[in-house]
Amino acid sequence: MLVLSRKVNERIKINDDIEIVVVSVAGDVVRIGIEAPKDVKILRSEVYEEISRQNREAAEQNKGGLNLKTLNELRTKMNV
Amino acid sequence: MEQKVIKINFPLGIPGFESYKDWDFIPEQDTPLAQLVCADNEYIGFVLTRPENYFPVYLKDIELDVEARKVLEVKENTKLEVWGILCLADDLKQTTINLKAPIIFNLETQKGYQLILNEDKYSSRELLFAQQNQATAEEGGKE
Repeated sequence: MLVLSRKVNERIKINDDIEIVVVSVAGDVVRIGIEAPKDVKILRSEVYEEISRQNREAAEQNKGGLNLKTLNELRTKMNV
Repeated sequence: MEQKVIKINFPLGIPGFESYKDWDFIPEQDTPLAQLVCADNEYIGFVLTRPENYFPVYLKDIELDVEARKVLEVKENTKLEVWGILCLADDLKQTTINLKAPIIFNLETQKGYQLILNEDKYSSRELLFAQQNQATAEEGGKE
């Protein structure tokens, strides 16, 4: 891994079209700005994992007969 | 209950279920609910609802990135459907909806994609029947 030291407002350029800037540093929180073309997908790495976990949990809740009753109650509640 | 089954292909799968690309989308006729069931494993499925019934301004906050447009084969006049995955709870009040990552369908091309929003305005477990849920709060409270 390439490791670079940067001060606030200093930038890093990746290829011709991506720039990263250190916006601020406060304690152990670094705010980073990213300028990139719209087709570059940028996500906090833990977010995808969070959504995976949430999906598995939602699917789990929906499994088996247990929730048919819950689902019917939900239908009644929403179908106003 | 009459059921319409729409075959939907998720080219990238769904996070947590990446290997399953083909799903059956089954909107209910009389409720704002739908089911999304894995075509290869009927034991994997989600309950979905239309978020705008409870979060009227939500749809305006959704912006598709280039990957989403590509996967969903979005063209100039494409109409998309936006649904939220529910996490059911025995206590209905604890039902949550994933607004951080809506399920988006292009019913014309039968493509689906779970979009992950970058901004932190919405969480993956918003209470569906929370009091402050704007316009239809009075409906949500009627039992």
